[in-house]
Amino acid sequence: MGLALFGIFKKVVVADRLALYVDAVYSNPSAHSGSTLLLATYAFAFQIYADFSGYSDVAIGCARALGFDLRPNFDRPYASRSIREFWRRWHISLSFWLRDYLYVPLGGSQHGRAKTIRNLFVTMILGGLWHGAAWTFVVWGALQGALLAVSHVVRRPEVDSPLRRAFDVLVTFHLVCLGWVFFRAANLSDAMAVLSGLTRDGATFVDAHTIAHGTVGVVVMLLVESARSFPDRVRFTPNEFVSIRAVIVSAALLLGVALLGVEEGSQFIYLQF
Amino acid sequence: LIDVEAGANLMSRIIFSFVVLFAVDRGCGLALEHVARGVYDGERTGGLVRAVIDHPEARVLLLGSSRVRRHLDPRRFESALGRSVRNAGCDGQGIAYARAVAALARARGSRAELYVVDLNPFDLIDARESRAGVLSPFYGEVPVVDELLASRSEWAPIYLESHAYRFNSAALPLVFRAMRGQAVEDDRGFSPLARRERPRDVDGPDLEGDEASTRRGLAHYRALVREARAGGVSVVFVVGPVRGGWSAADLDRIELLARAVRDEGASVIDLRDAGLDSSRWVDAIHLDAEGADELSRRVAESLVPESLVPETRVPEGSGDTQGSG
Repeated sequence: MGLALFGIFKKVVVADRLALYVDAVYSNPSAHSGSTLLLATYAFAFQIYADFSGYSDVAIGCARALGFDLRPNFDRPYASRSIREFWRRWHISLSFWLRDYLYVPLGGSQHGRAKTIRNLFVTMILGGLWHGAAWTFVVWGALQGALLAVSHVVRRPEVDSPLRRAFDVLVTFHLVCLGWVFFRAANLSDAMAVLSGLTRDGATFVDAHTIAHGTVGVVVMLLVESARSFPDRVRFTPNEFVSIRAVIVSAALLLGVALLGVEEGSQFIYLQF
Repeated sequence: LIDVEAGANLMSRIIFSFVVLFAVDRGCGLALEHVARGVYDGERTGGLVRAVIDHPEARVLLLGSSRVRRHLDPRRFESALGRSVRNAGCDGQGIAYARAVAALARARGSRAELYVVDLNPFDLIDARESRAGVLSPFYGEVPVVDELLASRSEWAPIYLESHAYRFNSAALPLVFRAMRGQAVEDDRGFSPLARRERPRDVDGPDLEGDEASTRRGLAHYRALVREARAGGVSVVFVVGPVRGGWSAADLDRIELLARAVRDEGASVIDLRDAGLDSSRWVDAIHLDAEGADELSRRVAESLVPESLVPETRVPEGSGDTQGSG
């Protein structure tokens, strides 16, 4: 049940908290400075990740408690070095479905570069429409298609260093954030107001209470996920100690939810799709 | 068919889990309560509530929202009344909070003889019970607070059994404030707003209340007066001004509230047309420091000639006070 509790932690402590700030800014984007819009977009990136991966963790954890082993749906997507890698790590079940039931039947990458690009576009636009019948999702899908097409055409230089990796991760994260602007905005005109407002001067609107709580939640979430991604380093033998550890971890997560969670949070974002 | 050993093992693990959870929760709650002692700042941490209940010597308590905290200067009242005064207003709160803080103060041995309360028509649209979470650290002390907290959701009484939950969203700011030390000067709870060259173009809330919210708001006002009088405390309500004057709908609500509290034996000071300098508003409902000083003087002076301040404590359960109505 630890995974389900961690999912609840991500939803209640991280996603619902960041939503307070994101909603305040995105409800009236033309009234905010560029730095505020940027901060809100970063916050939304973590909000939607915590919301949706938390939702998935709750489902996977509950299924596991009942004896069903479901595949993970997220694999630290913001550590991706390219958009292609991002889509292998984000909403994995949907990515595989789009690949198997849209991209491959359309011909996949078997009929030349032009058709591959067309197939990517069609697949991702339909993937965008899967989220809702709105132009923002169409643009979001088209943007993903374009980025995947570029990623397909342009080959990354064979340089591999920590600095290069960090650079790739940073660029990929910002490209993903560009898409999130369209995903989060209420309509296309709001999305354009966010993008055009990124250069606007002005004081940064900081709700210290929300930002501090959200940051603590994000840090804990990333630390736990980093630990989970290196199982060899934290592996314990299946003896009594494991259950004691599980109890302590569960108690810590419940304590985190009690202390840092938002009392009246919203429903899971993906419940509407 | 039944694996008794596995069942016993599972049961012992479940009991162990509950014991650990209980211990962690109580330990965390105790630690936070310890930290909270002496932190008299912060609207969301209960710091302002502690500032009131830890100063039981005040003879007059000023209760309400930001229109009390930012407008009414206890020193003006002390000069006029010759008694110690404390401002217990809190930004964003309403009549539900005022009622709960008064009840907590009485339970903690407050020597207050008079409550001066902001009469706010918005309380009939939203009494702001949903913001009562700030009172969670005081759960279990007085029925008024417990009922208010429990009314927020059907799960609230269960959540509130967790001592850690009582500090939900308050733990971080509490720890930060405790680490920073008590830097905020305790000016008897009064915190005026800075002057603005141009008032903010933000109008007050323009909402319509429903019948249920009107009933709830009225019930809080009546209960505040009843509970105060039962504890030997007189209550005076003040109708303050707003920029541009109250709307017709708000005036109706004011009349409704005034009638209700007078029925309960409280008095009402009407300063809705106080004629304050229009440049003193920082937004639709808040005055700057100079405007607040002027309003404080007017309210304090209104209390004296009308003999609204009781000379002695009213015996518990007695009838009418000196309220002029």
